[in-house]
Amino acid sequence: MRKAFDTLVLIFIWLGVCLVLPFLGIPPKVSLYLFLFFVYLALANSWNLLAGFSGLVSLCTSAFFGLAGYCLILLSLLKVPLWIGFIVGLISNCLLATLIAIPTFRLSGIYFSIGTLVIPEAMRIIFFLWRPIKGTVHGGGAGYMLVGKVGMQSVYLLSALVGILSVAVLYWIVNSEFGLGLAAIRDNQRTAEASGINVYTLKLRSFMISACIASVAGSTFYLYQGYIEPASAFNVKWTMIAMLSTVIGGIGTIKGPIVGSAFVTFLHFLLARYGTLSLMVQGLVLIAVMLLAPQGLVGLLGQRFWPKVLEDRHKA
Amino acid sequence: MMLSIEGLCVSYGRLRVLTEVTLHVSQGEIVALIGANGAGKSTLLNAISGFLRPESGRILFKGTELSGLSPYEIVELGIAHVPEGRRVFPELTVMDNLLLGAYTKRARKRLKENLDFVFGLFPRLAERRFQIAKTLSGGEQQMLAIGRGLMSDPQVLLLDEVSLGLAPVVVNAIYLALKRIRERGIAVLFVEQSVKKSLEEADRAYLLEAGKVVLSGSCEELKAYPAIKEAYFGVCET
Amino acid sequence: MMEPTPFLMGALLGGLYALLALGLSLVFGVMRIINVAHGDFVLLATYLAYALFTYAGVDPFLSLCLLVPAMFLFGFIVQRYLFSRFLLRSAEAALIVAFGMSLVIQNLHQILWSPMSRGLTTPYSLKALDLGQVFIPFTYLLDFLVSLGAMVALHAFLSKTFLGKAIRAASQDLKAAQMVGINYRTVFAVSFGIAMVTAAMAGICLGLTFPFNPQSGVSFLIIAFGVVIIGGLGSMIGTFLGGVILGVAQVVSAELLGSAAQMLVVYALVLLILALRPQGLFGVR
Repeated sequence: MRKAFDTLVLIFIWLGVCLVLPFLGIPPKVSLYLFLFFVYLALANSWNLLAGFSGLVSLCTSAFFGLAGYCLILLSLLKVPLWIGFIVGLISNCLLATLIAIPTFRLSGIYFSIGTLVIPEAMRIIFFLWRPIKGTVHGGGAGYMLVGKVGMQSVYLLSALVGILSVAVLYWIVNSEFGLGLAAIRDNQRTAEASGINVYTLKLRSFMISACIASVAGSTFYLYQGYIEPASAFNVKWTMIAMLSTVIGGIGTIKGPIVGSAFVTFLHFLLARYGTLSLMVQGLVLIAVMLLAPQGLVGLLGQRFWPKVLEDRHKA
Repeated sequence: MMLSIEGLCVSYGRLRVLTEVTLHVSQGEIVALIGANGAGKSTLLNAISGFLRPESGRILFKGTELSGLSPYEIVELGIAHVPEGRRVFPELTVMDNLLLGAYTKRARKRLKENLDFVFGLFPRLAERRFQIAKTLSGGEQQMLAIGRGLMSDPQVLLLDEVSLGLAPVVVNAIYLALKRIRERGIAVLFVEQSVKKSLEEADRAYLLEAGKVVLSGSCEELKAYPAIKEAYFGVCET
Repeated sequence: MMEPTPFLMGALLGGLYALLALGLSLVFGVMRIINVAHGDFVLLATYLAYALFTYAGVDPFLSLCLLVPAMFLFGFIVQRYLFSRFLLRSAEAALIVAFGMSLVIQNLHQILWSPMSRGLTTPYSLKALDLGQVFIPFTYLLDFLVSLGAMVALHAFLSKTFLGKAIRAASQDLKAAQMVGINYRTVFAVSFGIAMVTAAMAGICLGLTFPFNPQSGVSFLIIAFGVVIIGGLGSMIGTFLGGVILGVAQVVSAELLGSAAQMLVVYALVLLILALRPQGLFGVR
């Protein structure tokens, strides 16, 4: 109880600091990177919820991200208020998650991973072919911007809110009965099932929450960026960001994504000039971290994560 | 003494499973390892064959320290482990299973000889040599597992619960085969659920309880112990 | 009534798809990991063949002589020194590392070769066989023959040689395999090496048949996975039939829906089979 109170206090202080920052007159470039930090944080938590707490290594984060962006921008072109665009994005992604679950939850985790790999690719092709509204940017995208100006400050505040909320959601889940069920599933799905846990429902719930987090992250991002096109919306780089941030920080921890996202944001800052190298460097960093410190920076402080043995895997 | 274990301690993480186990098996002996479930019998066999790293103690095979070696190196040296649950290669034929038993360089030199011996020991395997292993009956699979172990040309044979789930007739046939294996000069160490069976078939036995050797000696001696009689035969000495 | 050509072409293509899936299937069967970087490894061979062809004028099939041992060594080393470290931890760890490798290679290709689409165009790649009713591009036929040859050779290796049987044994029961003296590290590394050899052959054939770009690896992976899903594991016939089904589905849908949508049909098929019959149509395990 004491621990929960302490954590809440910390979160509030942090919230306060973040919300106040833009008003202290920091240069726009810095607030851009802070903005990105929060978006990355949300993405990381979205992925962490699945891989770290539910035993599902998802490769379709970019699908949810891009779909949210498309909902927002396409609807804005139809003169629909932005906040409705956010909500439609949420609903669409929940639907998408439910659909994806049908084929991918069947067998072991590896089938889930490859099944989810298919989705962003499919989305890219779908949005490349489907041009519901005549867009001004090649690729079915659209320039956007409607009622008034959504200033940088507002977008920044929104991203801070989204990022912090994503941490709060994860924290709340992990310390709930729901989270306990997920932990059981992650450890051994068959045993969990035998103990009466409704595995499918819990996994689906987790998957949908993860999709929602990625969804608001996507809507927020495209609110800032203002235009969208298929190849970059559903690009694997979003999944990579989510994965790298979580792995560097520490999968299966609450603090991990926070530390990891900060690291990845900084990395992007360094690589800003070397666009083509960016993904390669991130890939190498990912491999290096997995080799040298798989528990991540936070995990190094004592949390064991994958105590599995070669033989047990083969038995399954 | 072919196989000599001294003061062996094995743990699973923080859980101590074997404590100061000392035993030995010599050439031409059949030794039984008896005890209740969870006493550590399978753990001991897995430690010998290299699947578990001991915390402390020594496992010596003809003077060579075994702990720290990989399972395949231990097979190459001359110890064969027939695991609990038979574990034949289900999709391969009987023949392929046996041939694979002779995978090591040393075993391949005596492949023909050992194959003849195995077929002589278990004629049923010879009859079904091209049958897929998973279609064999439980008893036949057990024979195949033992035969496969013999194909590695071992000097020590470790057997884990060979009678589980088998009809008494089949079990007797298997123990008969063990005697012939002993005649060949191979040392046999087996883990057996049935204490009665163990004391009948073995020369010596070790009783394991909660990871410690509590009794040992020749089977004749052990049969007389009231503890054994009472606990396992259900006979009460008044 | 449709012409027979697309069906025949699809079937021939299916042979190639089966070859593409062989490596993935072998690695999964033995090591229980899906190499998410498989498609990119295949593409690696394609670009290497392209380089040899463009700068040294070496015919792609001839470059196999160089690429086969090179890719085998590459696979052996990657498995022995990289993936093996993660097998002991968990399948998720191996997946993440493979994902990282996949992106590194994709990006590498992008830097070396630019995102532009390329193709291996040899003098014979534009020829076709006109058999009256049907019209078969020469490359499709070559692909099929190469694939068939590779599958027959692999099957023979797995069923007749000691090492081949050891690989099969290790994929069925790893602990029991160790108990007969099989060094699983060697078996794993050899399996991965063989997988890379088939990947090299598939890569060259694919490069001859279709245009490719740095992102093609993902499509290759999904096709390979689709074949494994449809055909099931543990059966080479199953893999072959899975390839044919996928190949026919793709070519026929390209005819009906246009070339942009053909991959969508493939993806939909993969998801459909996953939903309805995940163990595949012909799976043994």
